[in-house]
Amino acid sequence: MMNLTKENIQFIDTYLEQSDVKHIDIRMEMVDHVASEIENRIDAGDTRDFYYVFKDYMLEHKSFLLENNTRFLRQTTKKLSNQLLKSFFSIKSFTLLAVFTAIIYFGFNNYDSELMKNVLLISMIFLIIAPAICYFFALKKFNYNRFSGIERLGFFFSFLLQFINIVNITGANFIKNQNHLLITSIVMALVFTFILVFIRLSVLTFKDYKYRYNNLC
Amino acid sequence: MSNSKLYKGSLNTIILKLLNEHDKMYGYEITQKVKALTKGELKITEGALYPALHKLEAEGLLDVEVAKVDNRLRKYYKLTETGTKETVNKLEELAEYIKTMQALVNPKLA
Repeated sequence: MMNLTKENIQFIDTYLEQSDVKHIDIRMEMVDHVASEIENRIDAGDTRDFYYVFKDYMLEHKSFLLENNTRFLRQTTKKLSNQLLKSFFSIKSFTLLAVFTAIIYFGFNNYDSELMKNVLLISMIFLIIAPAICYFFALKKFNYNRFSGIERLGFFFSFLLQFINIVNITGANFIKNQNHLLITSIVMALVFTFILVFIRLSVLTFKDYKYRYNNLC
Repeated sequence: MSNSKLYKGSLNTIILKLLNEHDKMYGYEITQKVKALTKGELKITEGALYPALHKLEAEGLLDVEVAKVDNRLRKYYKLTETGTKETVNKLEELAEYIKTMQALVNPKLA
């Protein structure tokens, strides 16, 4: 059984990366598939140089491979969305939401509203920075290889930031009215709960990739 | 799959059945195994195989293991506990389907 050299494998990997297959968890499977097929063709009697066999294969199959890349990303987004929604609509999250609402409502009723706003703002900034730090460590841990799932989390993260931004803009005047304290507390608690659910999902996804792709660490 | 659209609906069952018979398999190995078992009649393309594998993985029926083989990384798939149970259901469903089709197409054999 003929085996391709490290250089041949690197060539396939670079070619696919330049063809926009950016994520290593998708690319490595494609590299293995292409390499196995080329080895098979050479074993079956194709005496031409690796590059000619590779070129022929790519002419026939490149569109399938790129389509596979898109579908994999879609699948990853779907999987993470389902996990996120499942975690959010759970008893644990609802308990967390109730606890946060109670704490924030108690805070607004017993402390200066300016102080409360500052405490909430600082906590929120900290919770927003946490996933960014998590992503940085994930990149470092995996030798700066990009993983589809971890990057898709970034996609959700940007939505989360937009949501917080909208709450912040629209809630600035609303919060001043004493009659709106309960609603304000619930919205704030919702944001906090969602951020924590998101952080938990990020950590779980990171651990999952670390367990599966230990060879790349 | 190049041969027929009829096979398309059974792709997941084919994958689950193969993985049930082997401890773990990688994508290319599955295509070659199917080709060999059907004497070249059924060719699973990468465009059909990998999305199916990833879907089964996302549904929790398959687990993934990565190993370094022949200068590259290889992604192996194996059945999870749920996957093993689902294989039994899928095979029963397929057997039932074949029986029904047999009754329709060739009543003498049914």
